[in-house]
Amino acid sequence: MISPHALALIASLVWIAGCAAHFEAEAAGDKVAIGIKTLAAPGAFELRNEGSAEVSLLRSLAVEKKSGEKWEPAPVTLQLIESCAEKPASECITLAPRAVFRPVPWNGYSCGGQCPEPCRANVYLGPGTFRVVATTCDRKHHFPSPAFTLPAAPG
Amino acid sequence: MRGELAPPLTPDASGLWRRAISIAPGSAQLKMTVKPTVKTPAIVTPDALFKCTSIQAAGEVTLNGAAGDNPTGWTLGFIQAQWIETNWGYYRGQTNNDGSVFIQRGRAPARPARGCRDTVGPVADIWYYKSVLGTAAAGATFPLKLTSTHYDRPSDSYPLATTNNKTKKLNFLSEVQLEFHFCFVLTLRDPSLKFHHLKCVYWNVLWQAKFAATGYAAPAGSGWSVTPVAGGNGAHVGHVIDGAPNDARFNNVLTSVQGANCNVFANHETTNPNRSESRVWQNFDVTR
Repeated sequence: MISPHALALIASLVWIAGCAAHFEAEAAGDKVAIGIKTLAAPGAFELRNEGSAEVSLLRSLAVEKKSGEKWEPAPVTLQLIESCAEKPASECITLAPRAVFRPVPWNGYSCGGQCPEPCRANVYLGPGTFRVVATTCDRKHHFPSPAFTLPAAPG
Repeated sequence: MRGELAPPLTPDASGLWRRAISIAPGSAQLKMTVKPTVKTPAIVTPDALFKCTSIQAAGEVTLNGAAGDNPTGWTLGFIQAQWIETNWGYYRGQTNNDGSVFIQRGRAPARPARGCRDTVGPVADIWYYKSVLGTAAAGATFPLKLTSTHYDRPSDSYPLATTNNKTKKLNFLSEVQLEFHFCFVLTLRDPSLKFHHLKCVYWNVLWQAKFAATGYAAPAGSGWSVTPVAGGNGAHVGHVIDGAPNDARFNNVLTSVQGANCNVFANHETTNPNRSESRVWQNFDVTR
C-alpha cells in the first residue's frame, strides 16, 4: 500500500520529470513556490503550487517579450481561467499544495488572446520569445514561466 | 514641399539649430500588403463570434539631411481612428409570449457618439502600435529611409441567449449587425513632436446575420443555424489618399488628448449595452 504522501511525491516527480527541460520556478522566499510548465502548443502552459501551503495568485498574468537580453512588457494580459465560461468574481485564485492549474491557452493576440472579446485594435504579437509571469495576490512574489516562442503567423 | 509647412529646426553636428532635415518630396509610400475578409459568424457556445482576417499595410518615407545632421527623434508609424460603429443584437423567445430583447451597443450611453483613437496600448501612446515604429538613430546617414507596418484584426461576439427580465424566459439570438469603420494614417513625427500625416486609408468590416436555434434548453440553446444577410457582410479597403485625412468625424481624435481608446469603448458598450425588453416578439428600431 502506498501512502497518499508518497503518491503526491511520485506525482510531483512525474510532473517535473515530464518537462524537465521546460520547468522553471522562482521560489521567492518563505514557502511560496509556483512552477510554470509550458506545454506543447505555443502559448499553452500550466501552473503548479510546489509549496506545502496554499498560495493565492492574481488572476491576471503579465506577458513579457524578449528584446535583446531584456524582458519587456507585452501589450496583453492573460487570465487564470480554465474555461471561457468562467466569470471570475474575485481578483485572485487559491492553489492548494501541489494543485495544478491549466489556464485557457494564449493564441498570441493582443486582444481576445484567450476568449472572445470586443476587439478593435488587435495585433498578433509573434514571432518572438515570450514568457508569462504569475504574481501572488499580495504582489510580493513573481513567478516567470520558461521562455516559449510564438511563430511568425498565428496557428 | 510647396503648400506645406517648412520642416522643423533641429540641431546640426555643431549644435547649431537650423532647418536641416526634411522629408524627401514624394518619398512617402503606403502599400496594402494584406486585405481583410470577414468570416461567416461562428457558433462557439455560448457565443456567436464575428471574426475577420487581418488587414496589413507597410509604409515608408525618406528623410534628407546633410552629413552630421542628427535624425534622432524622427519617427514613422501609424495612427488609426474608428469613426462609425453599428452594433446591435436582437433576441427572441421560443414563443411570442417568451418576449424579445434588443441589445444596442452602438449608441449612447453604451457608446459615446464620437470617434475614438484605436491603439493597442494605452490611448496616450497615440501610435496604433508602438512596437513597430520606424525610428532614426544618431549617426544615421542620409538619405534615411524609415519604415513601419500596420496590422489589425477586429472582432466581436454576442451571447447566444439572454434572460428576458419581463417574462423570465430565455430569449435566443435572432439577428446581429456590426459595422466598424476605420481610417489609418501613415504619419511622421518630428523631434518637436509635431505629426506630419503623409497618407491615409479608409477601411471597414461588416457583418449581418440571422440566427435560429432548433433546441431551446438553457443555457444557450442548440442546433444553431446562421444565415448571412445579403449585402450585410464584407470588408472594404479604400484607395490610398495622399496627405492628412480631412474628415471632421475623426480628425479631432487622431493626436489629441483622449481618455480612452477604441478597445475601452468596445468593452464598455459590451458590458453596459442599452437594453430594451418586451413581453412579446417586438420589432425594435435598430437606429436608436
